[in-house]
Amino acid sequence: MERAKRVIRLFMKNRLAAASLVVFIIVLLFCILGPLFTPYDYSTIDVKNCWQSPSLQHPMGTDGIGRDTMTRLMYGGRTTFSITFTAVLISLLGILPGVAAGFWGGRVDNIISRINDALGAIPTFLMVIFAENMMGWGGGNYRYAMGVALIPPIVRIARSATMEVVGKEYVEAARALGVGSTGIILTHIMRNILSPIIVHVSSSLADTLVMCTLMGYLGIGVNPPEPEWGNIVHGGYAVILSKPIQMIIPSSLIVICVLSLNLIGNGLRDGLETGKERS
Amino acid sequence: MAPTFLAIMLVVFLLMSVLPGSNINEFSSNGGGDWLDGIFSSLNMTDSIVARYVRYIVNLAKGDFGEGRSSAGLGSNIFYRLGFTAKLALFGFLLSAIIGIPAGTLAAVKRGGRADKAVSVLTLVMSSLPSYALAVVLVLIFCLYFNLLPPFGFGTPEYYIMPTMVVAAGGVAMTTRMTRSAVSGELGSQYVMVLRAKGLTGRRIVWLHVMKNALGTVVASLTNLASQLLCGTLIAENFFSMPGICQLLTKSISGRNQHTVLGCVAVLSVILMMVNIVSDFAAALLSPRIKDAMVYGGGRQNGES
Amino acid sequence: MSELLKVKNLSVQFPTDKGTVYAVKDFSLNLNPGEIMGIVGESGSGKSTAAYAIMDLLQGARVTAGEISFQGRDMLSMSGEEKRSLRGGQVGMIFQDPMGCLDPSVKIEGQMVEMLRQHSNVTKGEARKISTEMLRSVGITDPEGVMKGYQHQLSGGMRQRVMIAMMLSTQPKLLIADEPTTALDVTIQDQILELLTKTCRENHMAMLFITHNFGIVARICNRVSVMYGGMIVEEGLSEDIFYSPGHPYTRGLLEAIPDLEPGAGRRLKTISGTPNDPFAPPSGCVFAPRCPDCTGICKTEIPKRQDMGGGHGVWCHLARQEGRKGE
Repeated sequence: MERAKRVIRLFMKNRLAAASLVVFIIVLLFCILGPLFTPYDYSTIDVKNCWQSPSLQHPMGTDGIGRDTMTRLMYGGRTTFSITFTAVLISLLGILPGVAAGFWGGRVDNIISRINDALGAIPTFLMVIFAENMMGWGGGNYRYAMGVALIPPIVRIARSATMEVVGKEYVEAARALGVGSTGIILTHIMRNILSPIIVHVSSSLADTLVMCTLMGYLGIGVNPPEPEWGNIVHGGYAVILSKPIQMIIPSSLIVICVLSLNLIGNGLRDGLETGKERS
Repeated sequence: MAPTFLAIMLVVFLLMSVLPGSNINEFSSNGGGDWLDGIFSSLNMTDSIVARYVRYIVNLAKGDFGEGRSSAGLGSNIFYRLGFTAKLALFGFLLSAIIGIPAGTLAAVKRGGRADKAVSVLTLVMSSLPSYALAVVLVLIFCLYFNLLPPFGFGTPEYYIMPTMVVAAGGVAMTTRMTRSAVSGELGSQYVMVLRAKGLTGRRIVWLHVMKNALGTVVASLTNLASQLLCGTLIAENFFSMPGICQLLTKSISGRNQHTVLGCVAVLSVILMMVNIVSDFAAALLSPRIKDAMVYGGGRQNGES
Repeated sequence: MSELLKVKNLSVQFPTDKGTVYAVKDFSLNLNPGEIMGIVGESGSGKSTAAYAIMDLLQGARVTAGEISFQGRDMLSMSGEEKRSLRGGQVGMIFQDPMGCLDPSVKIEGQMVEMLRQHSNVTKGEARKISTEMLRSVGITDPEGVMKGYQHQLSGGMRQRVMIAMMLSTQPKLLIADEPTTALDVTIQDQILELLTKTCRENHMAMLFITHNFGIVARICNRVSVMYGGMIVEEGLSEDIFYSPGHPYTRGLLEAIPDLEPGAGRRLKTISGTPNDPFAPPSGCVFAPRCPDCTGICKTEIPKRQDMGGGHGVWCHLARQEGRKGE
């Protein structure tokens, strides 16, 4: 665990990454705790006050049918993040076949790699649109398709990390000594996989977030009146020329999140890579 | 390529069959012609998964996407829109190449210097900016503040400027990153040291020799770039109301028109597959090493010592 | 006979994140036209680094020298352009591993023509003819075919010949050869060495031959410099080095050459110890940690050059005494 402490220390040194982490946590808190403090509900319609600019009453204005944008952003964040995190979590299922392929090699590796390549050859959003098409629109069903689409890189990373460990001489030495080989090997494999997977997850969180909001923007996402960040941006499109602020606010929030996730990812990568060298 | 396509379709088909709420059955229960039904019933597998898969493929091939509202005019409509999208995508690709390749090369050559850091920052920003956010910013600047460009519609070249930028935005970050790593990789090679020992100028070395080798690598990953560009085109056509196939796609999504969506997705998949083939050819052309590997399946050595 | 290449007190350092690597220290040599000089040392002794530093081919290195002059011209004060025009023109270089030396995406013809046209005003057609002849002269039986092909179609030995042909096509006065035969089969080694020495003889070309193989040195070199830990420890005529080596390292190297004489049970002689840490070279003689004759002064003071006569110099505190010993 000293390695973890070292990694955290290096990460904190990278002020940009540390700042991004803080920003991201703030946004998360905004989405999780925010709704407790808002007097509005995300579907309270108040057509008289539609398309309001930010004011004391509505700190981020209102949308096309008078709903408070800030509240919608809070709830929307919950939705967006839940979809994103679910998708990324599903993608972690790829660790298992990856390790299997690396560990056993030969035909097992061959089969798994072929399937993986076929899966990876399908462009993500086409698969998502196709899945959504088949599974019924709305409800964020596409999170499963997104998760599946994110599997191939994970399988590849797990596979190569496993092969690295399996090829190392100390594993053979351990085997020769007859020291409970499977246990040792699995521990080593898990330790070796951890860093690249973490780095990849942080960057894929950012990309998935973008893709999720993209779907929302195109109207594929969740059904109205449920808010989702992409949805909210889409809503603001109607008045883009007269009241561009309506699109700017949700877009900025999204950009801030993606940027922080990317910077966190960079910081993690630097921290983990130097950490790896030293150990 | 065909086997790969079928394999991909198979994977997709199987996935759809097992996911809950999917109505893939609707597409595979009928159609495909009576002769097919005849074969299946005689083999007693009318409703088996194999039969369904075959019908599904045949339906796709025939362009019969089911009874959709606009399935009658789907053919010619799609072709017109396809041409439009192709134009837009091509412009976007060119723009991202024109910006990305020099930027990536510069960053690789001046590795660790100010130029490299600047390019890294720009790449980070570009990849963190979703296309629609960029579109909003562009519209703000060019339409509202400066009143230079028309925001919606198509026709004369001015209408194309902002959409192209949006499409390119998706690709620039990737192009830059790929070029930078490819060129960087080449610069560390032994032959580059030899070229310098030959007394060639730095410019000649980079733009004549290194480029030729690096581009092979970059072109090979053209398919990934195509996906990104497609995303950008989706947003661009939607945002700027351009009549391309992507706009049809988004409209039919909003209109919940399943069949048209399927049609568009199928067409786009085929296009991406063709891009894949083209990129493989181009890579082989650029790098004889890759060509020989493809043709002979491994290095070929002639000549004695 | 004025010197062709004169180097005085060349030092090369590489600043890295982990500290400064002292790759070469106080390297000096004098090379006359037509002379073949060997630079011998193990991997990491700095021999290649010194050669590259002379030609300004290193990246990220801090190079300092008292003097570097070629044909009487001071290279230290030359502009980048001037140095660049020397490379490949008057000074050729061939490298150790021929596998990665040629541009994989350009035909051999293109690369050879490019070389010629960079350094002289020949037309493409003339360049092509000269190149074909050069390929023939290095022993390639189908020069036209090779010209039209790519590097991955050639074996290692052929690639090295192409490299040699290419570098010699501009008729340089100096050829720096960095272990050109190490990666080749023994039979090919022979042919390449023949080729190089023949060219030196016929064209009055000087050659700086870098190697770790004493056998080659014995065969082809007029003079030798022995390097260890980034410094020259001994220099002189081949005969002097082989028959009366003055430095313990040189002696250790010569004794380590296996004897083919029958006589069972003799162990291979080795030099004990390991190479120095490049980040922390020893104060005093670089060889002190491993020297069997190391004394107190060896650990504190860097030995100066002791002249043994006839151009034979040894950098060792004990040299005077050990002068005439050794086989």
